[in-house]
Amino acid sequence: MSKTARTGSDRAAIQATAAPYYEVRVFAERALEESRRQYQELVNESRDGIYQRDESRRFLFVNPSLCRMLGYEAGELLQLTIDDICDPDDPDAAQVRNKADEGGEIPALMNWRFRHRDGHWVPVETSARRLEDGRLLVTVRDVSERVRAQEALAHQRDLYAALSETGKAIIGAENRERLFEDVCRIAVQYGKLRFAAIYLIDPADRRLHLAARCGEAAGYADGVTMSIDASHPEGRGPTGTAARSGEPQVCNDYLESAATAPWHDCARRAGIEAMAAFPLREAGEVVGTLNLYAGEPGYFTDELLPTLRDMAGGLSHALNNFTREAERRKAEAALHLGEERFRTLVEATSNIVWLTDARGVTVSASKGFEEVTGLDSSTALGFRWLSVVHPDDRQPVIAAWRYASENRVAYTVESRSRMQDGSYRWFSVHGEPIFEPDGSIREWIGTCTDINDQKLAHGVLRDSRQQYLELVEGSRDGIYQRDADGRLLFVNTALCRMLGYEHDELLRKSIHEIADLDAARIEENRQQQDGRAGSPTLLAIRLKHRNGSYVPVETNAKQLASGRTQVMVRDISARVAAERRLEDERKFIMHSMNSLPGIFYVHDAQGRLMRWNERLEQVTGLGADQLGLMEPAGFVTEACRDEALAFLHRTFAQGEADAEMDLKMPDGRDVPYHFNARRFTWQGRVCVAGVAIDISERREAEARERRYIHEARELSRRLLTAQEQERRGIARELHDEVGSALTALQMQIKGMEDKLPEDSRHLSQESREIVRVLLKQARDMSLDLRPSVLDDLGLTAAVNWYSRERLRPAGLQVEVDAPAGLGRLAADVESACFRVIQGAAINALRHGHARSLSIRLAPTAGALILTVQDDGEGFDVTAARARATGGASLGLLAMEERARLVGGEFSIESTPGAGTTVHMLVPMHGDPEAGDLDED
Amino acid sequence: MRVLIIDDQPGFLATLTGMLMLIPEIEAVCPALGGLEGLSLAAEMRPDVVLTDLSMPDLNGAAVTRRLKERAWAPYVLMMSFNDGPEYREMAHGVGADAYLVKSDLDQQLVPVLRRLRAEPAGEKEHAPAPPRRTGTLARRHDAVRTGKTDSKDTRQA
Repeated sequence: MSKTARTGSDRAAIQATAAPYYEVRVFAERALEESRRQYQELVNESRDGIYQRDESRRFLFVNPSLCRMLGYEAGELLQLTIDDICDPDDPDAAQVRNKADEGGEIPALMNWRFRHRDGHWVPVETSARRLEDGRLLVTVRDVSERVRAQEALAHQRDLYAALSETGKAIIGAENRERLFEDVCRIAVQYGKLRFAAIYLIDPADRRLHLAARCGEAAGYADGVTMSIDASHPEGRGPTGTAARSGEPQVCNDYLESAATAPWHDCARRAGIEAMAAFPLREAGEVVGTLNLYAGEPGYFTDELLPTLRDMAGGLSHALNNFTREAERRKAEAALHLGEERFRTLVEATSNIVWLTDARGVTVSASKGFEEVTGLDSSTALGFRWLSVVHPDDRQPVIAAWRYASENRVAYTVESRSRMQDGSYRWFSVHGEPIFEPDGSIREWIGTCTDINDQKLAHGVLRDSRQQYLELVEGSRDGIYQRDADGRLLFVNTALCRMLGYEHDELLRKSIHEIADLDAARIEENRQQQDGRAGSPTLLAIRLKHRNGSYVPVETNAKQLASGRTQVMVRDISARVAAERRLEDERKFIMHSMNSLPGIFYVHDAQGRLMRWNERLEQVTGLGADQLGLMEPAGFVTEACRDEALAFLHRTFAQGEADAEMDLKMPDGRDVPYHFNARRFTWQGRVCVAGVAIDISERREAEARERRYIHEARELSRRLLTAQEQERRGIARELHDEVGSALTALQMQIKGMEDKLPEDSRHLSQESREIVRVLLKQARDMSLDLRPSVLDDLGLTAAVNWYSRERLRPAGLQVEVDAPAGLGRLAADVESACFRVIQGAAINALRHGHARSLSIRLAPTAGALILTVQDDGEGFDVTAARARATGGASLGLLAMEERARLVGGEFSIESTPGAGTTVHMLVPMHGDPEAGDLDED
Repeated sequence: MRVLIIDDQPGFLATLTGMLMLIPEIEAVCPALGGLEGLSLAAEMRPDVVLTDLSMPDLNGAAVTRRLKERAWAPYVLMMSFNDGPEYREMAHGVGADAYLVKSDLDQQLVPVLRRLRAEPAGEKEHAPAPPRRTGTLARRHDAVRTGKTDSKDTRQA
């Protein structure tokens, strides 16, 4: 049967045919509908929550009660699973759920809890039933009330336990503080409270002060203040009210109540939801409160209050007991005050306490005696104590006691007592008389105080004070102390002397009056001071002398503990003057160094430059930094480097040395310098100080001079050579041309003679004689100009010829010592030698009027030594040379010049009255040209 | 008699040559204007007498004399000069000259000397004492260089 059929036009037919069943069915349907409605109502109206869920744990149905119970809308809840509202931390619940889903046994009843939409837990009891289709139908009953009742019961039980414990604590309590703490602890421990505290009223400020506390929220007590004054908000809370009214106060909605408003914040933080305050009484008066704080609202139920009140009452009772006990004890203690107290005191003190009778006989001494002196306490008894007093102090001690005794007054005397180890210690002995009612002295009570350390410290202090004063007064440095305003509070003699003031006069001054107030200078000093952090404050300033002048000083300031500043002042005028002199000296040296015409430098043994003048920098074009790092002798040219090092070593070895080296100029020129260096010790090191002077001008002058000399010599050589050649030419002319012509004439005359008649032949002969004379004259002229024998036969022959033909005929006795085998020499050497001999001979004849002459030619290896010595009058060589140079005579100079022209050395020795000797040494090489005449 | 005259002065040479030509005993006279020319002419002409001046620029009379005297056909050599003196005479003798004549006295001495030489027997000339020879080979080689190759050949023959 299809739906269409049922709803279509066939319906009537069907209904008609099914009429008998239809009615039954309608009835059944109605009944079913009714029961469904009833069920639905039941479900909807049920106070229990009902839900259905499937195996996927999703809710399929929830009733309004469940929604209310858990705070959800039905639609919301249907989106959730059972797991979303169950306590995930409850292992039993999870287990049961799993089991249920696996089709296992389902417990009839289960107690667990569901989470409310707002997060709090709702304790529930559920009963589940599996439906035929596997779904679970669960009824949920909210058991909060029951749980709460159970908890309240538990609290009650706990509080009874607390009360019982409190009672025990009260009985066993030794004092109030301990009791308070115990009560608080018990309240928290047994009462399951968050926090318990006892406050006591301070009558002075009418506030409640914490006396004891316990509990996990005990920190709460730190943040709150409470008062019993109703005019303050803090006095209108439960505690203040309880304290004021003497009635317990309960506040079960602590966070809501207006009365507790001042403490809401603190309470919220501490998790406090309810509290109760119980007045504590002592002797009928409210003295404080017992405050109990719970973590859940409504904790303090009416059932609980009597118990708690009892607890507070017990506490009050205990307080009364304490008061009574205290009063009893006080009375008792007063009874025992006398000797007991005295003994306690005596034994407690570290001093020695003694008691003597009126006569001074020691009756007792405290244990301190033994401890301090190390002596047996019996030593102190009677008069034996006197035996340990220092002999020097015995009389004063006795005198002091006697005086006190006679005048009935207390006394104090300081004395030394011997210790067990034999050393003495200082004690201050103080005795007080105790009088009988009649005014007489009954006994003495006194103490001995060890003042040895004090005494010593005092001594040390006194000594050090003394020493300090002596030091200060004896100091050569000025010392003053000033306060923060600069007023001088103390000055020593040295400072007065330094500044020319009287002591009192200076004390009236302030530091500002005597210090130089040059701000810039002070600033400079301050900066200097900053530069040496950590060092004592050391300043160089100047102070004003009484006469207006300034005294340069160095000060060293120190802050004293008293707040004063103590300043040591050292007069540094001498040092400043010395420094100034040193500076002057330094400037002088610098100036001197720099004004030197040349370079000045100092270097160490390694050749590193230590000092130099500006000239060196100018000359080398190098800066101070470059020069300071320069290699030894780095400023000379590369070529002179070896010489520079040798010069350095020479200077160190010999102490002084000279050298000529070239310096490289910045423009690339090399300039010759003459160096002179000396070794000396400077700054503890062996150093060298050197000066160097530009000698390029001298060098040029020398070169010029050399050139001039060379030119002059060349000229004179040419002159002499020319002269010689001319002479030789004229001589040859005379000899060859004239001589030949005359000879030819003579021979022609001779040829004609034969053709002349006999009587005329004498004319021809006379003519020939005339020609012969002419020939002789021409020959002599020629020989005088230049002896041809020198050219023809060489030096030896020429010397012999000259002696024979010219000198001997002039009346001179001539001795010639010339080796026959001398051979021919270079023509210019022969000429030079001959001319020198000729010159010497002419001088001997003309100026020396010599009678004899010795000519000696001595050939040696490679040289010929010529010596011409006469016995003439001699002459002053120097004067003659000067005359010769002046142009008076050329003989001497000509001789020298000829010698020099052939590379020879010429010297002349002459002493007036002792003849003259001429020496000449010439290098000798055989002349091949002239070799043909060598007849060896 | 054959005579060679060596002098560097042409005027004097001409006069002396002319004068000697007039002397009947003299068969031939040959003038030479210098030492070197003289030596070469002497080798060609083989004179009996060589009359040489001492001072000559190319080769002086002493050298000429010594070389001539080294020849196998060594002639008489008369050395002449303007100068006189023992040094000259010693030198002339040293190099082997047969006589030393001073030019100013030539007009008087030359002819007698020549005549004296002519009077000497020819064989005497052959047996005339040999002039002192140079022994140093260096000197000889030197001479050869100075005198030319013909002379050096002669030197070897000598």
